[in-house]
Amino acid sequence: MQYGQEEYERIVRPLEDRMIRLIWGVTKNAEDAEEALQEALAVLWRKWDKIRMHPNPEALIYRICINSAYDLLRRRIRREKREALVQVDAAVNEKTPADVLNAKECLAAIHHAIGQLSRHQAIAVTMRFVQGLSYGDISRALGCRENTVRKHVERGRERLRGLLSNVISEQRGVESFQ
Amino acid sequence: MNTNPEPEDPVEIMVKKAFDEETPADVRQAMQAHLRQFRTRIQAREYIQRPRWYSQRFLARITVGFGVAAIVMLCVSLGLIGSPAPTWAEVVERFAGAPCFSATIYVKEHATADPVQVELWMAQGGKLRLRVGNQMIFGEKGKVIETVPLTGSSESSNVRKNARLLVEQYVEALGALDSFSLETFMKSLPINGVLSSPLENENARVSDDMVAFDISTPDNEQWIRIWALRESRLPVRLLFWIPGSGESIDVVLSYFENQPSEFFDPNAFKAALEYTMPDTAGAAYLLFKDPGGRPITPADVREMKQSAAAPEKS
Repeated sequence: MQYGQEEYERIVRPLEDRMIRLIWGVTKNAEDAEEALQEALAVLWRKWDKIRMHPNPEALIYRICINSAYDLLRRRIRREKREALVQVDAAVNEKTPADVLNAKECLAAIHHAIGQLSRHQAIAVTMRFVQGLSYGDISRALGCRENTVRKHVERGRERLRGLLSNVISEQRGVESFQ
Repeated sequence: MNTNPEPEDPVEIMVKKAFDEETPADVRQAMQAHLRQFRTRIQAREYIQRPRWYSQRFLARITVGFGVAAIVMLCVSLGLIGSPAPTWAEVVERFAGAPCFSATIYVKEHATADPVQVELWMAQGGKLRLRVGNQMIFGEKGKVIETVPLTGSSESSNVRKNARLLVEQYVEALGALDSFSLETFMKSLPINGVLSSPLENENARVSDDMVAFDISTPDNEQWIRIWALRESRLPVRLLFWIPGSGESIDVVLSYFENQPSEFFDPNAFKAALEYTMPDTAGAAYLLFKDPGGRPITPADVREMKQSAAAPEKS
C-alpha cells in the first residue's frame, strides 16, 4: 500500500461518514453540501502535513468540515438575506406546537441561529454538542486553551438560547401537551 | 471521546436534533465520490511518499536556521559582527585620503535669515574652486589666484560679505595644505575659543550605518556636529551652531574621483565662459565632470547633441 493511501486509510477513512453527516447536517442542501465538502477537502489538501502530524487529526478534520459548512450556510443566509429569515421565523411562530418540533423550518431556524454565532463559537458548539468531543480535543483542534473553549461553548449556548427562545417555548408547550 | 454526559439542556438537544437527519442517498453518493477523488490525489502527492523523518529533518533545519539567526542578531546587537564605530582619528584620516570632494555650505546669520550658499570643490595638491554669489574664486596653495565674475545677481549683504571673508579663510586654511584636513577645515569656521575633543554622540546618528561626533567650546555656546559613514568613515555633513544668535554653518560633503585639471584653472574657465557666453545659466559649473556622466551645463547638453548628430567617420 502506498504511503499516502495508508495515511488516508488511517486518518480520513474512519471519518468519512461523519464528515458527510456533519456537512449535510449544517447545509441541508445537496448543492451546498457538495460545495462545502469540496472546500473542506481543498483545506485538507493544503494543510495535509499539519493534519497528519496533529495530535488529534480527527478533531481538526471535524473543525475544517464544520467551518466550511458554516461558511456555506452564512453565504446562503446572506444571499437569501432577511426575507428568508423572516419567513422562517414567521413559519415557526405560525405552526402548532406539534408541527414545530419536527418541522424543517425549525431545523433551518436552528442552523440559522448557529450561523449567527462567531466562527469559534459555532465550531465549538457543534463539536461539543453534536460530535460530543471533549474540551481538550476541541482546544487542540481550535489551537486555543480549554478554558477558552468552555467560554466559546457557554457563550454560544446562551446566544442560541436567546435566538431560539420561540422555538424552545414551543417545544416546552409540546412536551406539556403530550 | 464521547465525554458529554448530560445533554439535557434544551439548546443542546435542539442542536443535536438539527444534525440528526440522515443524509439522502444521492447526496451521500456524490460526496463519497469527492472523497474518493481526494484519496487518489493524496496518493499521488509527491512528498507524502517520503519517509516521515523528512518532516522532522525539515523542522530541525528550520529550528537550526532560527537559532543561527538569533545568534547573529545577538552578535550584531553586541557589536561583535559588523563594522565597529569609527574613531574620530579614522574619520580625519579617511577625509584626508579622499581624492576630491565638494562641499555645499549654507551660512545663516541668525535663525530666521535666508542662507547664503557657498560651493566649494577641492582636489589633492591644494587646488580649490569656490563660488560665492556671482563670483568664482580659484585658489592654490593657500592663495586666491583669480576671481572671475559671473553674470547674474550682484546684490551684496552683510552675510555675503561675511561669507566672502569665510571663503578667504577657507582658501588660506585649506589651500596651504597638500592634503585635506578636517580639523583645519573646522578651524576655518568663525569659532571663538578652544574646542573640546570630538565625542561620539549615539543619540544624534541618523541610523546604524552612520556615526555622529560632537565638538563644543567649554561653555557650550558654540558647537559642531559631524556625521560620518560607519563603513567608509567618510564625513558627510558638518553643522556649526551658535545657540545665542542662531548663526549656523551647515556643510554637506560629497566625494568623487579627481576632476580634470582645467576645472581648477581660471584661464580655462574664462575661455569656456567666453565660449558659452549666451548660456549664463549653469556657468558656475563649467568644466565640471559629473561622476555619472550626466550633463551639468547647457553647454554639456549642446555638446552631447552635436556629437550624437555628427556622422561617423569610416
